[in-house]
Amino acid sequence: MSAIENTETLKHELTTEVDSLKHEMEETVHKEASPVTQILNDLGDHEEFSYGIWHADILPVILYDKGQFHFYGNRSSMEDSGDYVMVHHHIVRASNHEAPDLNLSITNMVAFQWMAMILLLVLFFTASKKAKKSGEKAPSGIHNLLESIVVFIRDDVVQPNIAGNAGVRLLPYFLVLFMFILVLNLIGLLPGGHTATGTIGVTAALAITAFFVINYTAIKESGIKAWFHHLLGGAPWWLGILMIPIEIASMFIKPFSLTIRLFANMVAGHTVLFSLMGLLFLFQSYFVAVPIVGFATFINLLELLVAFLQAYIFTMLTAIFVGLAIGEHSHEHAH
Amino acid sequence: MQDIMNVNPGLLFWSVINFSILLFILSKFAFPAMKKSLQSREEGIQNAIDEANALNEKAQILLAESQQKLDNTQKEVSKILTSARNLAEQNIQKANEEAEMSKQQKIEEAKREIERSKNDAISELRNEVADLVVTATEKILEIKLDKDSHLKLAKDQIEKLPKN
Repeated sequence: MSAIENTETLKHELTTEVDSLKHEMEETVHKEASPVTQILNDLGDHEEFSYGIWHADILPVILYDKGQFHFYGNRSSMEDSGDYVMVHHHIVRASNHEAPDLNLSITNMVAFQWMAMILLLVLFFTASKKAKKSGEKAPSGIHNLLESIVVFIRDDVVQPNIAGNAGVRLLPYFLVLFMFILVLNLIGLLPGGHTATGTIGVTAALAITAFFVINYTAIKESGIKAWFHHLLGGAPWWLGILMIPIEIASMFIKPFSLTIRLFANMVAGHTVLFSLMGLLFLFQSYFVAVPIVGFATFINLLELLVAFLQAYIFTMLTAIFVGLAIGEHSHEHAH
Repeated sequence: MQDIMNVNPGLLFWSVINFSILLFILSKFAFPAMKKSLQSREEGIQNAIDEANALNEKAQILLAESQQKLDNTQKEVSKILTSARNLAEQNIQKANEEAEMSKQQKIEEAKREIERSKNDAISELRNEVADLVVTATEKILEIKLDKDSHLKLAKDQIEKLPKN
């Protein structure tokens, strides 16, 4: 009797031990994340501000859950409140460990966008002040730099694609689009910086804005009737059964392609860079380090090119899409 | 991987807000001054180019005009020169002709004078010779003859002589 009881107790103890060991192991695995998870983590977004290895829990958490908003000054004050906890870098309800309905927190990438915004505002307001002073005289310094970009966007991106008054009205949009993407890309290239354009959320936001700009401009310039007529793509009406679904799909595929193109280009370069850096820690040898540093420098310079190129491509394609959406109407007779 | 490929709706929302705010502030407060400065400068440059073109055109016209004037003047000058040369040539010819004429006249006159002097001298010489002959005859013959009949005789004799 006693022996059986003893065995039972031992069994129970062993099971508990194994369970706790298992748990500990999981924790350890999670703590000492593999380089791959570390890289993907760094590329992604967080609810805390981080620059390089410096982390600061300063960003407010805004949650919309069960029909009401919850505001917290930062993550730890959220956890102190006891309603929500962080599990595996995700905010979940403390009660059932499920994600809240909508997480509208100010994340790291939003903070990086603010940095870009502040930089752009300072640059453009300095230029604007200088412009007021200089009048008809030749521009200098920041004014000169920004004005050459303005003229480039106006003469090489907007005007060739969007004719007439619409082009003039949309110039600020394209200019801000180009500068915003460019500055976000470049901030991402700073050592320790995060690339906001390397997250789908940001590129999707820009593409959705582009979607509305494209369709709003098309309707405003050519009229709602022409906009519906576009859905035929210039084909005879009986092809409508084929053309209308294709055209509607293309309307959404265009901004989708913008989203993925920018996102993938920015992430790809960073992934290559991180992988090269990862090799350093894997091999821990000077023979590997020297070529790796060379490669990394090359990739970094390539990314500098890509930063400009992708900002240009996103802006250029948006301009082309706007031009197509307006222009098909006037080209109709040629079909 | 899941983290990267997911669209974070909060991030999307804030990105749209950020972009819209940036676009609004910049296009409302920063771009107008830059646009104005750019436009006024571009207009100024265009005006300067237009003005230069207009001035150039004017200068071309002036150049053509002065070229025309110069050509006209040159033509006139050459015309004047030609006529002057013709006139001078005519004058020279006339003078030459006159000189020739007067020379001929002088020569004629001189010839006539010479002829007359010669004739005079010849007749004087004849008279002298007749006188000398008479005197010589008187002396030889020592006979005082009737002067007139002898003189007549001598003269007849002389007339018979050849003219020269």
